[in-house]
Amino acid sequence: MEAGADLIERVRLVLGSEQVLTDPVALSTYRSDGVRRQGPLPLAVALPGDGAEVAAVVNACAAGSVRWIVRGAGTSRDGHALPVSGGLLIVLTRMRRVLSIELADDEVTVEPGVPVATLARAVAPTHRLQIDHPGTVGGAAAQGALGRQLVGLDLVQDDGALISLNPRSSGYDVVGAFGGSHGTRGIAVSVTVRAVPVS
Amino acid sequence: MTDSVTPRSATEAAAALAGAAAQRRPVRISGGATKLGWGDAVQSDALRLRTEQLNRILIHTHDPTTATLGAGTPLAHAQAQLARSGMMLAVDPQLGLGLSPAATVGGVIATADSGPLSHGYGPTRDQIIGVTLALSSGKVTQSGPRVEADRNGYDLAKLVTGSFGTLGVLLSVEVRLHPLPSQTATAFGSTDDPEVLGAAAVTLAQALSGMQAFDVAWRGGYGGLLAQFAGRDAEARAAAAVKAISAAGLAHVDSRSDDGSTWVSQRAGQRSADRAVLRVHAKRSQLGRVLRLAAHAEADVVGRAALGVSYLTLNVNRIANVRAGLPEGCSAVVLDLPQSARGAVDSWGTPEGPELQLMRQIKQSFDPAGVCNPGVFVGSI
Amino acid sequence: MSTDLTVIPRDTAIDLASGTLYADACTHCGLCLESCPTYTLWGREPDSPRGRIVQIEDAIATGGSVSAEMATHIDSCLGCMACVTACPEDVQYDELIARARVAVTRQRELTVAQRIQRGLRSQTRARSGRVRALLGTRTIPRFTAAQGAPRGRVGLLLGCTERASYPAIHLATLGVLAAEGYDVIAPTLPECCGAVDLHDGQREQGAHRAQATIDAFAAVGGVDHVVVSAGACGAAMKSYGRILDSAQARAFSALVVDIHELLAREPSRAPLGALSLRVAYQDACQLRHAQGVAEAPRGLLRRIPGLVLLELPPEAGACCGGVGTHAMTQPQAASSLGGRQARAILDTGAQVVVSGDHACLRQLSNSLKTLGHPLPVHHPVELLWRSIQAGQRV
Repeated sequence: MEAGADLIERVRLVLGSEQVLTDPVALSTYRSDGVRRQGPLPLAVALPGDGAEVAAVVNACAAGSVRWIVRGAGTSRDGHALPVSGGLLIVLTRMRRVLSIELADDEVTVEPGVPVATLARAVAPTHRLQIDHPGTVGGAAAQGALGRQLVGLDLVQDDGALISLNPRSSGYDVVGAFGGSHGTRGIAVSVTVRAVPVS
Repeated sequence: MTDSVTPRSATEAAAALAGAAAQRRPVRISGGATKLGWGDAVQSDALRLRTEQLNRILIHTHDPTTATLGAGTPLAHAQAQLARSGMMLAVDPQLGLGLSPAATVGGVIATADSGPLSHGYGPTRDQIIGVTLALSSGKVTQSGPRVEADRNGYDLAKLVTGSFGTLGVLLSVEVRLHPLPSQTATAFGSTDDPEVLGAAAVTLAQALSGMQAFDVAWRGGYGGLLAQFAGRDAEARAAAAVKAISAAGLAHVDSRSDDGSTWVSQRAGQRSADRAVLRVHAKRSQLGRVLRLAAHAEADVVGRAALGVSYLTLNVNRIANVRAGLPEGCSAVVLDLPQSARGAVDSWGTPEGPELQLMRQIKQSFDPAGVCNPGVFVGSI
Repeated sequence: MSTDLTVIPRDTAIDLASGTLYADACTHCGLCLESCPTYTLWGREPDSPRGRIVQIEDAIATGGSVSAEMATHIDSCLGCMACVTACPEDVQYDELIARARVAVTRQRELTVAQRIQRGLRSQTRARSGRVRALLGTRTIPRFTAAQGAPRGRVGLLLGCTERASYPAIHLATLGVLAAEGYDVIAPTLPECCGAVDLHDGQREQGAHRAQATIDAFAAVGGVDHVVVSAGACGAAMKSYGRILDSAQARAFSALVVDIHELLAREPSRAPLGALSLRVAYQDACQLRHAQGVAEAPRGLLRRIPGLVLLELPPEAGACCGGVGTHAMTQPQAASSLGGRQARAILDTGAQVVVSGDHACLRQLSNSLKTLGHPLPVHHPVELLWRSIQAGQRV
């Protein structure tokens, strides 16, 4: 599997060896999701630290024709967080920063690895999130669980290009279409959510 | 060569579209013909595909909170039908210029047009549950909760709203309905300082809860905020809101329950027969700045005060200044434009970049023949 | 001496039968992830409770042996038990990790130098315990009489490190217990309850010290309770019954009670004077998650007039990093975790920090000093004692 070994090397250069897991014992912990279901072992697990690293990893996969699956906390029950054989598993759980809180606009922007519960605490007590979800904001967005509260995204496309969309963008409603796409429509590296003021 | 076709069914619409695609002939999709000037121009030799026969209204007896509407149904007609069961579609744009409120359900959705109710009920896209679309391949496709999602496909119901007819011909839509409010009442206050007005909008958006509509208006150096409440206690709530509006620094504060004409005027302010209308989308906290720019440009403004959506009616030659003065990240789309200025103004103002490339990819995947309203959308899609 | 990893001697590998039973209860829901200090620090599944359970399951499926890779992830587990509190299925992670640690310790190929070092550390603790035990007996009275009519007779565990480094906690404990009407026996023995050994997977040494502790309290005669002020020691002593699996051990464990648990059961007898202090309460992981004691210490502190009790936000994490030997064996993680909690403490604007375990007091004290804000750190019982003394002066 030369393509695989090459890719792992490239991803190590981008992220640092510590953030690329290849030992089968470690990889095995990523075989299941929120229920006791077993997927195959991935080629490797990559843990990018920010959007630029995500884009670089996706780019490397595109160049090497290696499939990838994106994953958050792996609490989903619908099978979309499971690895594919010979594919890279891109795990976003290191990306846990709250990027901006603009309560005057009822908007908060976070990295995808932020747990939904943490986001709810960040906007309290003046605002509340109308969402209850055990996983990450990125995962909830991809599952459609954020519903109409999802209003903006920075998305890494399949070719590694980064696009930025918010409620004021013109064009097709790509943000709306991302909800429920289960990670097939690019990787969200920043998510803007609408919080509701507490009356 | 036929100039126009008026299909009577989904099959006919799909066939007409596929036929045009085979001939590489562009198609201009139209409903009530009330917004044909919006966006950039489509070729003049395009085949006109009229949706007026796609006008069935299906009331769901098993679920009074939803209905399926033919895309060619005039929205006013649909609302009248729905009102008989005490329900409404919470989408209330100005339905046409002057005396002809001919806007169709399809046209309103395709342009994501909206009105004051978008404050209390959410934007137009939130009212759409599912869509049926004819594609230029001749296929009729459905999307929505009862249709199994294609793992690799986009959620069409989301993409079609605001797509300006560039993905296909909208045939029918399944929509969310809400109860028609029994009574309404509106509280209001005013000022001549755009920054005060903007700041008051931010404060009141959080201080006044449960408003059905929350609008801003600005005309001739003077403006105000309008807070509408609905329900049996509407009058009491509007009266109670007066205190908060005063505290927010506005003057001439009052409330009234006979508020129909106020909101007719707000909706009317979104269209213009002889000047340009610029729809500005900014952050709520930037409203003061938008109003100041509008004032300098001698523009009249109506808009959704909490949502950052403002409609500026102004002379064509002031558009560039307003666009240049807006904060970064805002969009400013030209809607109505006098005939004489058509072609001279870039309606969308969308910069080149990866976002636009993605839009082109999406267009390509649904309408590879490029016949659906070509040229009308962002980036000349 | 290298251990053949394919031959699993009884009682030294992951116990296959019980390990499977405990691991099976896990549904992989992932609700434990956010409570885990190492997961929130590194964002990696293998260093999470769910991931550690998967590794244990995988090891069991291949005969019970532990790979070097797996050992690093078992080692990184703090044993704070925050995951046990968070788990909706009541998975007994404490049982699983204890078994895994024993296996790791046994199966790891220890170099001669490492074995000597380990032995020395353990002996030093024991020796210093003996020396300090002798010294300690001069300042900590063996018997303290109840004030007023006695409502009971209790034993107090003096322990090893607490006796040597934090005698003030013991003196405060004696003062409070006496004021609340308890006769207190504080025997010199045992030297050490074995908590650190058990936490580290040193099963033989730990079991030996457990028995010695039971014997020491048996020797002093009937007590209603064995009171412990160190969260980690209390947790270990409550588990003696499970570890030694004897009637005597189970009976002993049933007597063990944390000082806050005991005091919270009754209204205060002694009047409490005012202490105008802003106090941040830090949950010692072994007290809150291993023993399940959270409300009792808070309730007691709230009885003190003028005291403002401040809570740490969940972002502070469930563990300060000072548990067991972690500060020595995983210095980077311990430093990050300690720093995180210290910052959260400073954000509350507290004047004093309290915690129910001296290991936390030491770790927090160091972490606060590193940040340039050496706030005083105390055991809650020390504030109770101060309050009682203030009440007596009035």
